[in-house]
Amino acid sequence: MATTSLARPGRVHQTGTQRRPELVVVPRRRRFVGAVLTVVVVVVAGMLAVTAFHTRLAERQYQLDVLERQVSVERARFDVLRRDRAWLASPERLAGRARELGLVTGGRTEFLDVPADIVALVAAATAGLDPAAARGTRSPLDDFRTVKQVLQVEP
Amino acid sequence: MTSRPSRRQRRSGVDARARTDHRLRRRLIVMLSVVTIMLTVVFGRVVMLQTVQADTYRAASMRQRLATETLRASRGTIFDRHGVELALSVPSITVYADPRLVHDPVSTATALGQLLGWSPERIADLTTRLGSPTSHFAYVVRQVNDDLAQAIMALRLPGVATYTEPQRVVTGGDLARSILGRTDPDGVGISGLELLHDLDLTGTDGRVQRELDGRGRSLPTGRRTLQAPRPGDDIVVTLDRSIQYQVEQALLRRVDQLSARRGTAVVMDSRTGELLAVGSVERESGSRARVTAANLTAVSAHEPGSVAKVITTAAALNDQRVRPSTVFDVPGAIMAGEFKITDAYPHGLEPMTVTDIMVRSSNIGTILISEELGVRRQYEYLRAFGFGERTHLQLPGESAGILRPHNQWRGTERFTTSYGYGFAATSLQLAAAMNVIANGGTYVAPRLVRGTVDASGTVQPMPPAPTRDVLRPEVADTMTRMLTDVVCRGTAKLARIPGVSVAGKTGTGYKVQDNGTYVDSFGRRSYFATFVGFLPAEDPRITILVSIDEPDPSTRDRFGGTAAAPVFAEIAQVALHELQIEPPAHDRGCEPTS
Repeated sequence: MATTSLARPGRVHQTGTQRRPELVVVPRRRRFVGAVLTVVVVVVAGMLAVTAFHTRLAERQYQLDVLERQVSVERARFDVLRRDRAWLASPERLAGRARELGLVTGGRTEFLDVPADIVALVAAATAGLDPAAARGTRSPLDDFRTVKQVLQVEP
Repeated sequence: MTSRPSRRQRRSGVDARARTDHRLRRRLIVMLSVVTIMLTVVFGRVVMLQTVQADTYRAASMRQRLATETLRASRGTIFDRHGVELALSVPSITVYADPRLVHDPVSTATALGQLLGWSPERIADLTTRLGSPTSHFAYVVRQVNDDLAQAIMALRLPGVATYTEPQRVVTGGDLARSILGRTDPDGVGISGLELLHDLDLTGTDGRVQRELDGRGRSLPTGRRTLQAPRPGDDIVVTLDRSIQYQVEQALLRRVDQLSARRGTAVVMDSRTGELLAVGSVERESGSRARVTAANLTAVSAHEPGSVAKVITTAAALNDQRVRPSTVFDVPGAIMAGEFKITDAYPHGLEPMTVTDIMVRSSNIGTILISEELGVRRQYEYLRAFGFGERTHLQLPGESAGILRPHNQWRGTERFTTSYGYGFAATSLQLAAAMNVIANGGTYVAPRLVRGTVDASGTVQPMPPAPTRDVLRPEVADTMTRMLTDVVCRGTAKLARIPGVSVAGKTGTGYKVQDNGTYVDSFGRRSYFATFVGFLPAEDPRITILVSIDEPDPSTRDRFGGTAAAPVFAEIAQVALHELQIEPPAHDRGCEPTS
């Protein structure tokens, strides 16, 4: 019965002049270091990206806060300007200013008959311009409504 | 070279290593047990924190980071008919103190009081409030301007700080203050339109919750919930600011000239019932008249006097009991039970047409007309003309006047009601009643609000004022001609305007004195002078009422035709100009047509 000698683990068993091929040590350590470095770089880059993202978010949030405060301030300013405009155009102020300038209240209203040819001449000279159109029809209420429409969509 | 250890030595070495291993193992077991116990405790604590106590700590954490801010809804603006702001809210600064942080209440209150020009009593009151050990908050002064607030803060008083809150401002000062009313410092309407439309003007407060960092800045990825405030609706009223101002100025001048107690005026669009101006002025004895906060046109009712003859005559004409040319034999006096009733001027038995009775404002002639009509119909017509009930405006404190049912009229009331005694009416009621004639016989309720502006900026018009037919149009035309005669050749000549026909009626009522009669303990009378009319009579556009309460009784300017009619003419010319009303081409006023 033929017997086969089995090599025990951990021991080199040589027979005669037969030599095994020379073993080459694979540089596992270098590959590991490279992999670790890659992971570290990726992680660090990711963290930097997240940090940058958060910084950007914080910056934008700060800008939002500033804008909200600015909107609030501008709203208040808008109301103050409305009050000031209403006062500046108020009959009470205008009458007082007129008195300061030496103006006096007009006398009685009198209705005169204007000859038809004069009416025709004036109409021709003004091209039939509607006095209301010449005065302008936009009132403070129109301006206010425009702003209110904008403010309605603003949170 | 060492020799091999003996068997004994080898055994003793093995024993020593075994003992060491045993000790090591024992220590490891102890350490493992300790670590296990510690980890168990930690794990248990973590489990507790993450399960049973999680909500509590989460809430506590959020409380620390979450800031809740109330977004106060802005109160709506009140605009005039041309879109000019009459009342609006603007930010103002309120100064307050935290008494816990105030080091010296006495010196703090004194410094503030001196700067604000307070009385010693008021400073003492603030001292008391600042010295309260349990209080966390005390108002110093509310709603001041920026300059004053900065001056206060420049004092650098410990515990004193400011915050911003809206303040209600009437842009024209006292202009229309009796109609607009006012709000309390918290922005709640307490009188006038501010009270009547408080629900419309008041919006709904909002709320914002934000997660903040330690420096009070919003966390970028933090929680943020926003409940936006809904601003109050804005109101567009029918008043014309310019006419309103000139009406008030005319009243102020006249009340001062006549040393009267009060004056009221109503300017109304004859067709729509829109009130263009409503003025109330008052004068304290010895001082100048000023625009009052009380809306006297609505809350104050008086016996209308001769203006009521218009209703009696129109009713009799409408029921075809009389015609303008119907002649009555009018005596100089009649007896109503024990009381003698006379006309304002002495005369004997005199034939008068219905038109004459109106033009000459004969009390007795009007009684004769009313007898043709009967008290029941007279009462029904008074109701139809709007007396005895509040107008559709439903203003705060508005009076319904006094008009008892006809079956409760007693004694002379059966006679005097026909010419304006025995019932009471407000200026608004009188103006609306006269407007029935101007409006072709149709009563149109006074109207004060044209529409509202909702949150989207859209104007929502209010429904038109309710109307009802009272007189036939031809009767209204007949009455207009009679009332034009009253102005042109009757008791209201001072109401005439060159080139424009005016129709109207004077009224001079005696005021009831404290003793319940028309004469006080010194035998003096007080007068309530009224003129109410409309123009152009040919095509009525405006109805105007002017009343002067208690003009100087010693002068001739105590009657409706002398005290109130000139103011009517002044206001009418203002209204013609402001509204650019041109009289019909053939209208020549009281001048004879060529």
